[in-house]
Amino acid sequence: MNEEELIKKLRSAELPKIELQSHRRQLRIALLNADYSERQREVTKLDLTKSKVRGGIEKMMKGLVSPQPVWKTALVTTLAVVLAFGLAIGLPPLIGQSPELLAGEIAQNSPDVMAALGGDEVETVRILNIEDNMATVIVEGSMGGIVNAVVDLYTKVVTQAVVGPQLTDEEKEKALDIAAADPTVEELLDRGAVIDLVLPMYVTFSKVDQETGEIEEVTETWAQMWMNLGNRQWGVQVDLIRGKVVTVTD
Amino acid sequence: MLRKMNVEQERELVERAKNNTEAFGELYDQYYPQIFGYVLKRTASIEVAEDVTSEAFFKALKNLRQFRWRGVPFSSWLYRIATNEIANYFTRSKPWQSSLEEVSNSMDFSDPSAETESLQAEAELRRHEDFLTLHQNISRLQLKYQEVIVLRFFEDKQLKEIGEILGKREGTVKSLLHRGLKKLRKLTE
Repeated sequence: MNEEELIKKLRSAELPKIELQSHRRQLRIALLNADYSERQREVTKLDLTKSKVRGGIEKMMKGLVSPQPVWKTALVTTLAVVLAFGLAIGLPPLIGQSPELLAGEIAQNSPDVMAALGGDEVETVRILNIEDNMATVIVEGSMGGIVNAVVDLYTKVVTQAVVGPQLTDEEKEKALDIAAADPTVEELLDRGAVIDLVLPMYVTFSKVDQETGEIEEVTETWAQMWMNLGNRQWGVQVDLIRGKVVTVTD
Repeated sequence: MLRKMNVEQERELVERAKNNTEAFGELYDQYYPQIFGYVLKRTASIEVAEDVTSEAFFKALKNLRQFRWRGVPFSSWLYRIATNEIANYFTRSKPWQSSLEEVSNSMDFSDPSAETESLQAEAELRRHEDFLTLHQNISRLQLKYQEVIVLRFFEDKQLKEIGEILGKREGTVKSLLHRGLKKLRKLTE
């Protein structure tokens, strides 16, 4: 066989055109959940850094007004805090506030969000995404109320504050039971981790009917929860239909 | 059916995907069939193609923020990641194994329909006898020859694009292709 014949053979071979809808769907869910958890973790890091900066500034102020000046300590603390903050988020605080922090602050101080929470105090603020200067923020009240807010970062205004969907008490209980039976979650709970938030999670996928071959779009309600232990946070996704934990992401 | 994007639309979507999970989902929808198809033609195994494709997309997700436009299409970047993962699979290097374990765990949905679908796909693959025979011979070549031959003849890529995917000059690709075909010819005789 010469080269031309070989090329002809290579070009004319019938190639497999196989698509695996289940794999495609599962991988999509796994990827998006991983990406979402990663973004949540970034927001948590920002929150922690922010508290450290506040702590540092308070210490600095105390140092500066103390009857026994400890300005050296104060200055070193301030520099260390600024450096840590800069390293953590790529120095934007030296130029201006990060969009995540800005979105969080606007949302938690918004009268519309307060009204939607029904007078409850803000407990947690999570940034879901930021696109074209519009941030989607979830604000959770201390009584468990949840508000989905859209923040315009350009005008610094909350353009929408809607009371978010929640799982029923039975669904929450079921989610917690399923999670607690998972070995990874169980181990974390044994180590003292606390589940601080349980939210619904909507999963849409295509299902192939094995008999008719028809593809049907199915949306299921799952639960996602956050676990905290010290400075670490884990995201847990629970498939309420099949009664199992799908992912635990650090 | 997904719309075919032009370069500008693709560029815009990639930039959005760096900060937006849903936009990454759109990118994934756009390229999953291509990447899975390529990995399948390189490995001729449904199971391996599933694992390697998963690993490639997880790598892409992790490194998306590092992706910079330098006149090379995003698809070439994905092909490159997939090519590296295939090489990792063939050489059975440690990073692939440990990382894959992580991916598999996160995808362990125990979906019986997925298992059935994989078995059906495996049966469908076995039907392509000509391809399998060619693949068997191609897989006996060194990886550098396998890569160029599959990209050129099974993925129908131009030499320039193969160069972009493999990070090689067009001339080098041409010469690899020539030598690869020569070796393949000997194996098929």
